[in-house]
Amino acid sequence: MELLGQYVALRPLRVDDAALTLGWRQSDRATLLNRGATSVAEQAAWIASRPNTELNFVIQLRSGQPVGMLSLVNIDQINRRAEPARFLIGDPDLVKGLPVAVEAMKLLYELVFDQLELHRVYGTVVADNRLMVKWQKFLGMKEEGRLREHYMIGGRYRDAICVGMMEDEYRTVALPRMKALIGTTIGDNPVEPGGFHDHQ
Amino acid sequence: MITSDEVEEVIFHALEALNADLDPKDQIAISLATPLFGSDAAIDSLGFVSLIVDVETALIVDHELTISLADDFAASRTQSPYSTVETLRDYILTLAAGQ
Repeated sequence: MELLGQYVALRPLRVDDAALTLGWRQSDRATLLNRGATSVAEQAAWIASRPNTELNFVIQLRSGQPVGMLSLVNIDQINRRAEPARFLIGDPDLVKGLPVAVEAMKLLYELVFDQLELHRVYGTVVADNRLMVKWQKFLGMKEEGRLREHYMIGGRYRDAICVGMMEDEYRTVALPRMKALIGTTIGDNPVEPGGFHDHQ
Repeated sequence: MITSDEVEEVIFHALEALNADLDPKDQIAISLATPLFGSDAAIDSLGFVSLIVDVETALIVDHELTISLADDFAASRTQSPYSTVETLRDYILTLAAGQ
């Protein structure tokens, strides 16, 4: 399954992405994510063992240049819910000036609500990650609770903020905002049909 | 009616708050010409959203001005309202004048 946007595409994470994604996960930008694998072999094994309740993607520019990763995990067709996770822009220099993060989330939410026809997305954000908390709320997530000292990151416990969004909130809050952010960028950076910026 | 200087102050304060969350090497130089979103901007998407949230909040709390800075109207503008501090200030004043 590949999801195509105006600036980016989400394509399935592959075992041969192990070295690339491990590098991203071990970068300073991923300080507030779980560390996970410590070698390429471990990362490859982890990718190969993803269960069918997950969809794992590489975010790539339309040129094919990979720039990040994003997953949908805990897909529950009975309760019609899933959890966006592992969102990371691994190469910020390549996405400078492009609404890559916004469009990647828009593509994932379209998958959730239009294709999988789920009712709800939810997740947790490290409370210290104030920019990500604001980001999730701006894009429609509502704070639903706080898990005290839920994560051990960097040698100390950190609280987690629980967030969630229903389908109607996605359509009335998140989608217009995402369209606005993507649309205003297009206004400044015209994209030729079939062609895309791969670097600014 | 909110003034141009007051809107500038709101945006500058939001940028100062953003700088407080950024590493020293990623600090944003604050002026009317500071690019906010687009090819010239040093602010990434997370930072930009933080800025918009803080500006919208300050307009409500400090000036009782409820406006949405990211909607269809923003996307319909010929020039992006997010290009610089100055264009965002002017966009906010346009929205405020319409209320």
